[in-house]
Amino acid sequence: MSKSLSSQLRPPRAISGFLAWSLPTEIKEPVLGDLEEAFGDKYHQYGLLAANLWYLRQALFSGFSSMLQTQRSVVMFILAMIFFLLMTLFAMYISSGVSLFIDIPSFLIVFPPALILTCAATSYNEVKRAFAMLMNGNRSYDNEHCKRSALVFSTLGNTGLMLGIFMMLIGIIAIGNVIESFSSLVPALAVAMLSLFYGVAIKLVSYVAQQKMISLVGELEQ
Amino acid sequence: MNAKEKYLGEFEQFLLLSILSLGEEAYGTTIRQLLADKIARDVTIGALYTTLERLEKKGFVESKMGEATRERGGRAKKYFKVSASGEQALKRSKQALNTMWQDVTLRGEHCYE
Repeated sequence: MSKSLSSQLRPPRAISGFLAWSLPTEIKEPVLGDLEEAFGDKYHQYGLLAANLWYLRQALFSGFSSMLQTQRSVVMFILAMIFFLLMTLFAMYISSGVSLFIDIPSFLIVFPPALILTCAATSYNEVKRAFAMLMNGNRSYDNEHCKRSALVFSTLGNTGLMLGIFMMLIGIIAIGNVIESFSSLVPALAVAMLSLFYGVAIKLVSYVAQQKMISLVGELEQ
Repeated sequence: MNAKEKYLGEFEQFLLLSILSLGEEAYGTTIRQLLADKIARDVTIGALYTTLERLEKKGFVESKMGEATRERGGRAKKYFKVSASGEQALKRSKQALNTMWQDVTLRGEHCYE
C-alpha cells in the first residue's frame, strides 16, 4: 500500500483528537481502535467521504455524551470564558467601538513577555502542564501538580499586570516628552492605557484559572 | 438486589445476547456489527461502551484487553465475556418476559401460551 493511501485511511486527526479528549480513560483505547477499524471498512466499501461522515457522526455523538461526564469542569471554564469575552465585546461596543481596544503592538509588548517571564520564574514544562490541566479534566494529576499549576497562573497574572503598568508608564513618559498640545495628549494617553488594559485582562483570566487549580487541590484533598 | 437491578433493560439484553452469540470474537466492532445485521439497530460506539461498562460494574460482563493491530492504529481490542451472574440475569429477564406474554393475545395472532 502506498504511503499516501495508508495516510488517507486514517480518520481525521482533529475529530479523533476531540474524541480522545472527551472519552473516559478506561475506554479510550478500545473505542478509538474500534472506530478506526470500522473507518477502514467503510472506506473500502463506500469511499473516503462516506467513511469520514460516518466517523464524524460517531465521534460527535459519543464525544459529546462523554464530555459532559469527563470534561464538565473544562466545559464550564470554556463557557465562562466565552461569556466573559462576549460581555467584554459588548461593553467595548457600547462605549466607543471594538476597534479602539484592539492594538496588536500593545498586546505584543504585554502577553509574550508575561509568558516568557512566567517560564523563567517556573519552568517551560510547568507552564505547558498548567495549560494542559486547564483544558483537560480527564487526566490524573496529583495534589502537587495542581499547586504548581496554581503558582504558574498566579505568576502569569501578576507578571502580566505589572508589565501592563510598566509599559503604560513607558508610554506616558514618551508622551510627556514629545507632547506639545493638550488636545493630542488624550488620544496618545488612550493608546498608552491599552497595555494596562491587556495586563488587567491577563490578570483576570489567570486569576480564574488559578482559582480553578486551587479548587482542584481542595477536591483532591477531600 | 433491587427491582431495577433484577431485570435487564432491552439494550442490555441485546448486548449480552450478542456477546454470547459472538463467543471469543466479542468486542466493540463485532458487537455493533451484529446488532446492525440482526436487528437493524445502529448504535454509536459510545453508547455501546457506556452500557458495557455499566454491565461490567454490575458483574454481568467480564473483559480483557487483546492484541493491538495495524488497522486499529496500534490500539488494543477489548474482548467481552458474559459472566455466570450475567447469564442468570438473562434467564431471569427471559422468564419474566415469558410470564408476561402468557395469556396475551395480540390482534390477528394466536395466544402465545
